Amino acid sequence: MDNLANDNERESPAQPKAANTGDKEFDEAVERVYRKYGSDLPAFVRDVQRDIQKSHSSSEVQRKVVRIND
Amino acid sequence: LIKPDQNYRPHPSRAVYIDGVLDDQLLSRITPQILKHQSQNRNPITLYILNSPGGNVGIMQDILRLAQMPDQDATNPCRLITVVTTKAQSAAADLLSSGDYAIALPGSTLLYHGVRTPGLIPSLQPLTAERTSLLAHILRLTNDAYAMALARKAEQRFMLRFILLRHGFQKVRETSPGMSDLDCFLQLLSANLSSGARKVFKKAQERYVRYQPLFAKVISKTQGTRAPERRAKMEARIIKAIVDFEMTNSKNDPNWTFKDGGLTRLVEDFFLVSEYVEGEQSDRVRHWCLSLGKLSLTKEELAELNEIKDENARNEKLIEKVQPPVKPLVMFFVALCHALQEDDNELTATDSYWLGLIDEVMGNSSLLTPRWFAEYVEDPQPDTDEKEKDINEGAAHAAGA
Repeated sequence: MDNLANDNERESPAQPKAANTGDKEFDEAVERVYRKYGSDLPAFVRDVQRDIQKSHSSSEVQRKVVRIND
Repeated sequence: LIKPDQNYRPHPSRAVYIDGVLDDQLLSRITPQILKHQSQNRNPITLYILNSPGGNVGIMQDILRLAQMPDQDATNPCRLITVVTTKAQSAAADLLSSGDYAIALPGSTLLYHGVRTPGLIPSLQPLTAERTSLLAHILRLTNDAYAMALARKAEQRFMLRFILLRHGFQKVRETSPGMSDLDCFLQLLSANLSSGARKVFKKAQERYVRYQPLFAKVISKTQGTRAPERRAKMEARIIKAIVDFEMTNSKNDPNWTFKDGGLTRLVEDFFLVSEYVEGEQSDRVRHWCLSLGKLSLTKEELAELNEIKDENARNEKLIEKVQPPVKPLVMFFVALCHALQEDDNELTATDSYWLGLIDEVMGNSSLLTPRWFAEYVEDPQPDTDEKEKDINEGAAHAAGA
């Protein structure tokens, strides 16, 4: 965790990011899900759960941590 | 399929920690930390609530106001991710639910109750009947105001639960035919709650039974008056509708009068209904219908919708289809938020999820969260991968040649 904190402090001020309320991005995300699954939410839930199970391997977890820092 | 999105992930390097009572001392300690994070960038700030019994509601609001402050260039506020690790009670529970994305760790508890303000009683003055009655009245109105504020902040979470459980309605109707969408939803929701949470849920149902005819009466009397010349005109219509409602409601009680309790009820109802009417006329529900709402439609309804070519007409049709089942849902959620202000209501993390008070129970992959939508990325098509591989190999060959 300490490493994560240090990495993030180094990148912070150089990368100003605009509006971060997430509403517009969230609507777009819903649209992506809707395009693929229509209103079949159980199918979406199943797929995500399957992916979460897959990502429990340590290499996948590592990849996620790196992505967050990106 | 899942690509982590920082808007939905707590991050200890941009975090503020709350432990203990929400008071001036705590505010003084965390204010510089919040300001420092805000000055660094506009990325989300995580507010960890470790173990807080709550405290001063004003301080809670100060923390929220500070954390959601724009900068000098009016850049949007930093997104606020709230996380409870052990215990969030009273004002701390409200703070948790007020986050743009609220997470509870498994095993944590949340406690909701009404406002307690001993400070309202001037300690040197003795209590009189007038002062006690005034205090009770103020507390009731304050509770109502907080309940409505909570409902506004959290209603979309509750509506997502509706979409999640909607697919089970058919099964409920197989055993109990003729049940409305709301009844099916409430039955399925209740099955997911602990016995403690079912108590507040039951209180919400009782409130809802009273709200239903009241709201129906007011809406029927104020329909078609979306933009009155003066706000006071709309308020007058609401008051007249409530007076009519209370008169009808009490027609079998010869002792009922406005002077003897009826007026107090009228005032409470007025604040409740005005908030509801304003909420209904706001863009919040409309926006929700256009976004997540469409996931609540059946395949047939979606097919019908997709036949409409004009986007505006399609959106209007979508709202027309989604809104009717959502309206009673919002009304029930208002009742629930009011019920949470009565007595002490201790909830588990999972209860809080199902009641729409938080977005996610950390590590529980059986509960759908908004994060899943935000982080969803379609898997690359195998054919495309193969094609890219071929192209890359081709390019490498060409470069080698």
